[in-house]
This record gives sequence, C-alpha cells and structure tokens, in this order.
Amino acid sequence: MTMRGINRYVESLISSRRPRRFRASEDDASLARTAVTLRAARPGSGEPDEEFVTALHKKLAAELDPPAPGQAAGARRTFLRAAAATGTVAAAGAAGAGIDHALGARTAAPDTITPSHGIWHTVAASTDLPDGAVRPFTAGALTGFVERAGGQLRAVSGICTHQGCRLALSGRPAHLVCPCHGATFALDGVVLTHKFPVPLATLPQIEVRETDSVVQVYAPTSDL
Amino acid sequence: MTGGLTASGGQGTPLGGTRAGASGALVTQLRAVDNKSYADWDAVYRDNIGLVHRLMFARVGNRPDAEDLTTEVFLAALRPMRLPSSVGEVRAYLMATARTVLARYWARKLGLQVTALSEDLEQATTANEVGPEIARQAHQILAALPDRYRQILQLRFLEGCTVAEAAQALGVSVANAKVLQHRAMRRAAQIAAGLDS
Repeated sequence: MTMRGINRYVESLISSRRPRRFRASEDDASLARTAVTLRAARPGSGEPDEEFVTALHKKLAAELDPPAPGQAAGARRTFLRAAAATGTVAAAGAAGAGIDHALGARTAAPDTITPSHGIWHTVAASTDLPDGAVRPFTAGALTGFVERAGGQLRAVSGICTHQGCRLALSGRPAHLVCPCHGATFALDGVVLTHKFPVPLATLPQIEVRETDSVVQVYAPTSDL
Repeated sequence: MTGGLTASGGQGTPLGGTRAGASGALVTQLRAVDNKSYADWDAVYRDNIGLVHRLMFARVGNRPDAEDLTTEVFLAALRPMRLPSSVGEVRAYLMATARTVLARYWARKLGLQVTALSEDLEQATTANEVGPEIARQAHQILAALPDRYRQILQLRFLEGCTVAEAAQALGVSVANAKVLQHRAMRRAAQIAAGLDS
C-alpha cells in the first residue's frame, strides 16, 4: 500500500504535478525527501512564476493595506515589476522597530476583564471547589475556568486568544487546550505551547471572589 | 524588544567613524549593509519572494505546493511585522514562519514529522544561494551512486524523461527501468541519510 503511495508521489514530482497525500512510513519519508532534493535540482525549477508573484502581491495588498483612495493598486503593481531582485531598501535609522516573535518579546501583563456593566455571578458552591479543583463556568457573556490553588481563587477566560475557540480542560496537571490549533494554556492564563509563528496573548483574568459560601465571578449582566 | 536594533544602530556609527580616514568608499558600503532595512511590507515582499519560493520549491519539489506554501508564509508573516525592521530580522522571521508552515505541510502530506528545513538552506540568505546549494546536495547523492542508478535518476529527475524515454536511453525494457529506478531511489535515500548525519 505504502509502496504505491510513494511511487505515485515520486512520479508526481518528476512530471511536475502536485503529489497526493498518503500515509508514509519512515522509509517512505526519507525516500520522498530525496526525491524532492533531486527534483529541485532540475535547472531553473525553483524560479517563481511571474504571474504567481503578481497575484500574491495583489492578495497581500488586499489583506494588508487599509483601503485608501489615494493608493491605486495599479501603481503598486508597476512598482513591483520595476523592482530588481536587490529591491528597494530604505535607510533605517529608526530605532524601536522590531518583530515581536523574532525578538522573543511577550505581550504585556495579562488583562483583567472589566465589564462596564457587570454583576457578581455565582459559579460554584465553595464546597464544590476544594483546594486544587478547577471548574468550568459560563457567566453572562463570559466563559472561563475557576481554580482554587494554594487557598487562592483564580479565574481566567476560556476562549483561545488565537481565533476564539472554546478551550477544554485537560491533563494532569490540569491545563487548557484549544481544540482548533492545539494551543495550550496554564490555568493562570499563561501560554504553554502553540505552533504559531507569532506570539499568542495570555488569557485574560476574570475577577473572582468568595462570599457566603459561594464562588462568584464579575461578568457582564446577562440580559443587557 | 528594541535591543536588537538599537545595538546594530549603535555599532554603525563608531564603525564608520574609525574607518573614515582609511577608506571613504568602504565606510559607505559598510554603512549601507548595516543600515539595510525594509520600510514596508511591499519592500519585504519584493526582496524576499524569490528567496521564499525557491526555498519552498527546494523542500517540496513541485510548483503547486511551493506556491501555496509561499502564500501561506507571506500571509502569516507580514501582518504581525513591525516595520521598518532590519533585513536580518525580517529574514529570520520569514525562515521561522517557513519552518512552521513546512512542518504542517509534511504532517498533512505524509502523516508524519519530517525535518522541515535543514540548516543548509536556512543559511542561504539570498535567493541566488538556494539553487546552487540544492544542486550541490543532489550531485553529492548522485555521485555516490553506481553508474546505472545514477543514470536513471539523472534522466528522470534532472532531465524530466518519462520512464519509456529513460528505458530507451538505457537500452532496457520499461519494466526493467522501473525496477532500476526503484532500487536507485532506495539507495539514494540511504546515501542522503548518511550525508545528513
């Protein structure tokens, strides 16, 4: 079975077609990699197609440039064609520029959600949240997790800071996992792992208190 | 966060100052390299599209996938970039993005982890360095093969011959050419693995 998969893969590369996916063994993978190297060595094969370069530029412009009437797409395209491989590089000078990811910077201190019109919502009885326990909750517009650790209460948002998927509680020690792209967060909201090339924000904190033997979080009034 | 750039900016001036007496032209050149940066995404794109595409092609060996992955890299990398930034920082970031994108690609394509972007190519910092590097690797593999194995792979991969054409060139049947190619590939993969380690 894998034999056919890898053979088809190799033949696709040789005849310049997109190879189909297949379930590869370790041997298949090293064979595939060698095939890629040999194929990539065919003279001139890595050159980008001019049409592709233009089309991607257009797509990026649509994504990145705010729609401004003064900025004609046509002018940009001409500019692109005229540009030599060396490109236009402006003199820098400007300190303070940088890329978060490349420099390993992290987003600032975690935010606390402070709704303009909030009330205290009861999310658990004190007895249901012994030391070391974690409970998911929904309160008004907020979804989150409340934890008692070392006698301290803490609540964080249960929504992934990447694309807004609802996090799931998992593992030992307990942590939060995003079902969409697998990012994981500690119960204090700190990012544990993710596979994005850009930094992921810490989960916002939610105010939490204990009164009259119940645990409450401060969240928007649900019927606003 | 601004440490990297402040440091490089700080180096530029004293360096220029000490060498000023020696050679004006050299100083201008050094300054140009030191201060090279990209003002906007357009400049980043124009200067790196060739590099990223060639890297991707060198790692996936086919144009449709190379184009998709190149698109993915720029879409993911450009938005969070804060410009102006130095050429070095931008390229390091593009490479980091390319690595992630490739890892995802292999997981999807073959269902397993493959070393996505080995250092050899990552160190290629201009588009013009990628082609020669991949050619060097391919020829290193080919050179270590027995003649018949080398010939069939050369005909098929480098010259783009069909199996029938390759069979004819080698004076064997199509069935024999297929077997020969298969064995040659297995041997080549072993050699490549040996070269890697």
